[in-house]
Amino acid sequence: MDYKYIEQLLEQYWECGTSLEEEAILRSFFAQDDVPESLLPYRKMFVAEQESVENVRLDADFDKRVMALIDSRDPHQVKARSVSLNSRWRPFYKVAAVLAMVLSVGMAVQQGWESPQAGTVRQQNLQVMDTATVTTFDAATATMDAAADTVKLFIDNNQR
Amino acid sequence: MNIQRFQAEVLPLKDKLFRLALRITLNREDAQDIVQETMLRVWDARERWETIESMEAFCITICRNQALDFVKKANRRDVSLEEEAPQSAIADVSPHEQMVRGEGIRLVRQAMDRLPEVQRSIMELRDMEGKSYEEIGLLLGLGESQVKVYLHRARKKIKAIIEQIEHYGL
Repeated sequence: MDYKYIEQLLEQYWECGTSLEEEAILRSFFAQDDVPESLLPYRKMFVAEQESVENVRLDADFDKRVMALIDSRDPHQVKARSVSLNSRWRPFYKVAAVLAMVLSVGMAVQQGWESPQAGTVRQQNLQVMDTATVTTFDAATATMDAAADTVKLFIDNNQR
Repeated sequence: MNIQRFQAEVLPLKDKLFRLALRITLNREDAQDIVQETMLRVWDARERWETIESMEAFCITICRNQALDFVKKANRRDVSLEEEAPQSAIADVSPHEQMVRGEGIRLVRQAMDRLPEVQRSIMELRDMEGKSYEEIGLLLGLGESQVKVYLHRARKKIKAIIEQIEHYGL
């Protein structure tokens, strides 16, 4: 078999005179087992290069690790999580409780300033407490109604 | 959207980047860390992806710079990879011949690792990644003729090593 063409290509290869296609021909030639004795020494280089391409690889664990790192450093990512009915209502309970407290204290202070006589303080305090309770209840009811409307709107939007 | 693009265009470059980083650091673990850092940097630059002409060239440039910085800091050069040749490449020969041939390949690989960094990287990009002289020049910031000069020097040294092994034994 005539290997003149391969020998010529190889000579050009050392001089950087080969194209990428011609270098691919050389690589395919040296990848086969049937290489003549005269060209065998040069096979080492092509085998060494080919081995590097085949053996120097990163496994699938690398992909997982990179994706996990990307996931952990992305501040804009929104993650879905399950929310119980109780925790869904918790903000409204908090608002209702805070409103009730503020209104109670406000009413108590106002009543205290308007009727400063010592003899009637106890009676007035009791009255204030009654008023505050009613006010708190009204405020909480109003908040709960507003919250219910919000939830209804949310469910409607979701259904749409 | 960005995640899909990252998985489709950036992650598949991992082996290419790994080989390139390994060619510079000559240490697998360091090269792996460098590729990981490269991937994260590319992700952090996702706002600029639209303006990038070639994602591959962008990744290669980041990876190469990372590897060069690493080597500069660690001052780790000329360390042999000491990788074993796989059985498939040296099959159907006697154990003695197999050892001699395997040793020959190891010596050639060692000689490749001892080339100056720029020659190693050019050999990697040309012979293993199949890049044109123009592409290599753009990636390394060199002219095409400079790339050819470096590659010519590298191939000449490897050829000399092969002939030395042949004439004087291992």
